[in-house]
Amino acid sequence: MKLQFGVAVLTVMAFQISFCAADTTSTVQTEIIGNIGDEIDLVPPSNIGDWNLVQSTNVKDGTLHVTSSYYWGVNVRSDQPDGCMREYSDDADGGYITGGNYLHIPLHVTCTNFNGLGGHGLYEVQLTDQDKTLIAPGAWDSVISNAPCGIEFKQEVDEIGWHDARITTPGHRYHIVVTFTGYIAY
Amino acid sequence: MRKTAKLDIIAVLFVYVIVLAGFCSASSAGDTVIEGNIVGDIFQLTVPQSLVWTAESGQTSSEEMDLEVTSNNYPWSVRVKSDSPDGKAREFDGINYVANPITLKSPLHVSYGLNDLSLNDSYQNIISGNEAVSGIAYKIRFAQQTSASDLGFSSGHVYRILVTFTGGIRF
Repeated sequence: MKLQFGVAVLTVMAFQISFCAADTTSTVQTEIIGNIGDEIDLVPPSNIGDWNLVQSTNVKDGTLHVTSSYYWGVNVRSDQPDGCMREYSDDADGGYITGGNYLHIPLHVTCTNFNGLGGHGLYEVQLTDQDKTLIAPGAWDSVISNAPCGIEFKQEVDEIGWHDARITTPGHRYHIVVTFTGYIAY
Repeated sequence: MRKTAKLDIIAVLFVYVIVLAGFCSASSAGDTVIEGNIVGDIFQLTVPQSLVWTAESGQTSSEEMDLEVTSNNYPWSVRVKSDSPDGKAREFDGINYVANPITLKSPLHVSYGLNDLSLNDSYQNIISGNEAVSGIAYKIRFAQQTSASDLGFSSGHVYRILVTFTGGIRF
């Protein structure tokens, strides 16, 4: 018997794929979307130094400036729990004087006008160390730029009795820090 | 002829969402520092306008009154004197001291607590304080010793003495 083997011929056929510019196009897109974030900026009234307090109602005026991109409000608080000015020194051992003198009536802060206009949403606040509404949120224009708000600081010294001593130690005086906080009112 | 394959590229859409950040601030805070002091010293005294009492002969009689002090600073003090050089009440006709008046034999005493003073026409310290006070009433006691030789008046005259209190800060 004669064996014959067929030889299988394997042919590898390679296909080449080519891209022809003339026949296809490619288009991609990038979509960019965004928005302006709500912003509020607040400039507090200038510091008050050497306030000469008499046995009466003492008043000092200042201006708060507000810039906002949306409805806004302003709170106010002091660094003293009872809102009362206390004896202070910025000597080497400076700061509030432990056991020192203090005014017995709290400081009051009032927003008297917004952009020269009085009316709703403007309050008088007896200070504490907790935020209280000075300008109600949404009470006035939502988008404003450096708008002035009239601020009145009022310190009463008892006219009937007298509990408030004059500080005589050199370099000491009555002191309080008032913090204004503006916020976006969503 | 060589075969070429065509492939269609599917357009791919990429979406980027870009948030514009950098100056977003939902709140803003700022401080105002306030400093000052009480100006001017305030000191006030308040006493009853007059004190009328009937002293019993041969005894020591006393009366009390409130001396009110208001001071916005310290230290403060109060002094007292009489219009009589020797502190003895003198005969008074209702308008004036009479000429050559009859006087009580003993001077009037004024005291606050343990501070007992025999009056004369020079100021003497009676009360002092080291804190601001507001309308605080200090109990002042007057004591008048009389003897059997101190006689009463039937003519409408009285014994009179004017007591002056004065005070101040760092006085």
